[in-house]
Amino acid sequence: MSRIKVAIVEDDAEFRQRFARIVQDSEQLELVGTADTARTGYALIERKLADIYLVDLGLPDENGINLIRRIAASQPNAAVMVVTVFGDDDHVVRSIQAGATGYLLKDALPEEMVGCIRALYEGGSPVSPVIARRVLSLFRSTAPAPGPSAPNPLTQRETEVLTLVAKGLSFAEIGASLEISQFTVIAHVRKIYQKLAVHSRGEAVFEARQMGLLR
Amino acid sequence: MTPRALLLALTLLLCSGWPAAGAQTASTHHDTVETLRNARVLVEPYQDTLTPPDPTNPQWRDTPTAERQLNPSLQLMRVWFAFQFQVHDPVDQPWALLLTRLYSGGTVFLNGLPVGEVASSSPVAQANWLRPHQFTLAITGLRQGTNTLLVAVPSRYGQIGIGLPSVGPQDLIQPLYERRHFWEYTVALVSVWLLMVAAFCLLAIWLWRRQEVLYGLFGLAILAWGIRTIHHVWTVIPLSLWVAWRTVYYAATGFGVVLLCMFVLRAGGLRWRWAERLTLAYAAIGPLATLLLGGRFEFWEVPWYAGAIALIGITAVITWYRAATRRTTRALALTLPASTVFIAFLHDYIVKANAGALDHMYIAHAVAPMVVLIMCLVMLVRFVQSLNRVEGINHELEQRVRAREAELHANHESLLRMELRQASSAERQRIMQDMHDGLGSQLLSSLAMVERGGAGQHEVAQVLRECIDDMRLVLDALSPDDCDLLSALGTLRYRMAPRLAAAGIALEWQIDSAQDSLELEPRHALAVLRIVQEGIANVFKHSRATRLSVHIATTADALRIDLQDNGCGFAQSRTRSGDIPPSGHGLTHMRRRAAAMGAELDIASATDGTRISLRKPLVLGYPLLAG
Repeated sequence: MSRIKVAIVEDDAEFRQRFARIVQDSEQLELVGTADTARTGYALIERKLADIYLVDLGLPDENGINLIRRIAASQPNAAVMVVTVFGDDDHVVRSIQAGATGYLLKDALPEEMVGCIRALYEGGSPVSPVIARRVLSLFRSTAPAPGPSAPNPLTQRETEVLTLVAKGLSFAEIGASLEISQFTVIAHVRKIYQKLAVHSRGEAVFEARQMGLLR
Repeated sequence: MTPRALLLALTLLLCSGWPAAGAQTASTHHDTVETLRNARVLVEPYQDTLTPPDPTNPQWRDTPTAERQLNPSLQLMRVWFAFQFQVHDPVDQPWALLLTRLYSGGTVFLNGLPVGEVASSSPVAQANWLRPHQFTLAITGLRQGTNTLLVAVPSRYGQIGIGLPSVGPQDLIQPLYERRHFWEYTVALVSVWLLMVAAFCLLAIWLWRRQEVLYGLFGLAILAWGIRTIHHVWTVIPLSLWVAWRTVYYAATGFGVVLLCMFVLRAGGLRWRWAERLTLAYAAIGPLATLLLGGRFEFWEVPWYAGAIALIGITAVITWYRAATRRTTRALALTLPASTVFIAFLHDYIVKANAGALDHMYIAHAVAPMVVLIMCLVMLVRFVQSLNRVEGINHELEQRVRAREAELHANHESLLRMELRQASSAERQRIMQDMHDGLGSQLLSSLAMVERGGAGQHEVAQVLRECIDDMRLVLDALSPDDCDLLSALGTLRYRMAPRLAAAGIALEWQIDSAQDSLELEPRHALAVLRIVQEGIANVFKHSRATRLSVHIATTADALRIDLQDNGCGFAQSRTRSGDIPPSGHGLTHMRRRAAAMGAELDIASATDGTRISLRKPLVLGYPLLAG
């Protein structure tokens, strides 16, 4: 089994080294590069080496969101994990909207971190109850708005999944509760991530039009 | 000049205009209209047949025309008046005879031929024509030289007279007749209607507002005046009703006068109970005596009137005195009714008592509308004044209410602001206390541990992790967009699950809750979260358990959380790394936190596992500002 290729964009040397060490220590992972600024980050992603990118948002020269957007646009087969302190801030949702499909807590234990990266690589996307609630309220708030803003794009099943995630249930328990397989639940979650990203792009276009940038 | 004063002046002008207009008519065409001052009179018992008596009858007497013939028996008599007048020039138009006081009706003959008849007193009726009569004297009936007029008057009054007859060309007599007819009849008719309508309105007001006694008094007074004035328009009265009608008439006159006086005095703020009762009793004498004596009261009528006139005179003097001392428009206005009525009554009294000398008409009925007018004005002013006062009071009241409302609103606002400030400051204090007791002391103790050099990397990492976990709980509990404990517990579970899995502990998580969310005060939510987290931490730190079951149940009035593991219990617990045993700080903290939020905490530990049960009673609704 080939190793999962991981690249790290993180300005804090302490964390960068910690993440690098965990990746290097793991038999399942392979470190293909690190960057400490957005500029070096762009150079890193140009080489298209990694399967998984760990990206911190608070880079000294530029917001990591643009980096995530670039990766999502140029490397559909790669996945982005945003690095976050608590996993419940708005940055996570905005990163997901930019194209990230997972997030990593800065204090994650080595085994947790490896597990997360593996899960993401295998197509799973982690969703914490807090993120699920944020996403639900995000779509709920846009739902009744008429006009170019799209109606709630989530299906009823996807909403049910998110609601159960928000209550702290595991994917297995959600599957049992909804009488579907755990993998179907994971597929729903992936779909939700995609919709979140598409939705945000639609909104970006709408906003651009509003601002007169697009005709 | 205020509008009120203007109105008053107008009224005065109107009033003064009336008698003046009447006076003018008397002097017009004096030269060509002849007043017949001398007559011959013959009194005979009443007979059904009307035959002019023989001019040579020795009972004919010469007399001044205006002088009344006495009829002490009050029997129905027929009095014959004969006059002579001269026609010198050839007559080219009809002449006319004006009889001003043919009150009992009668028949007129010119040169022996009848020229007119007015329904007269008879054995079955009593005539009461308080108005003038005009008889046309045709050209063909007049002679050059001496003409003789003969007037037959059937009457049962004690004094019988016809006033001063006037004779002359009809176009000169006609205006005299019309003027007098207007003042004696038309005005009386108008008065009756006016007084009745005004009385009705005033009494209606009084009935609705019984405390407005003045309206009632005045209404009754003018009702009496209205009834009395019917006397001027009801001409031929069946004899069977005569005494009854006279009784009503005297009652109306007496009470009309007394009530008017009472009204005027009370309106001026004077009220003498005994005087009022005495005068009312005096007023009652007239009608009562009429009932007792019948027509005979006619002989005492004049002195009785004199008493009433004296009453009005006294009242008038009092009102004038008040007006002089008070000097208000109102007091001045109140002098008018009593004075006017006094003058009118005095005039009528003189006419009645000494009719021979005067050919005047009665005027009391004509001043009634004027009195009503003045008094209505006084009432109106009073009404408008009280309306203004009420409106002023209302306005002031409204303003006061509005000011009070604004004040209350401001108070309420500041109270609310203060409460919010207190609440948020209390909340801030709690969080600070929390940071101080929890994170702060944990960080300090780990700092001491590191500085002592006795701490290995593992210990330091563990302490810091605990700090971070605690901070996460604080953030979860204080999260501004949801105060939902169930969500926060879900987050806690999500966070702990990988660690439990890594430690080889199977987690069974069960929620029995009818509702989707459970709102708690942030500090209580935090306490619950800490107890649960502490419980879970104990399990994988000390218990060597392989299974942990967390059961969360909510009912309408309580929250219950049970943590059950299959570990070795506290007694056997020996930590992997020699930590403080859980019966120490950890459990103490849990108990203290439960007590602080009014919850029960049961800890049962045995060799085959430990059970921690938390039961917290719920208050209905979320007490936002509860201390």
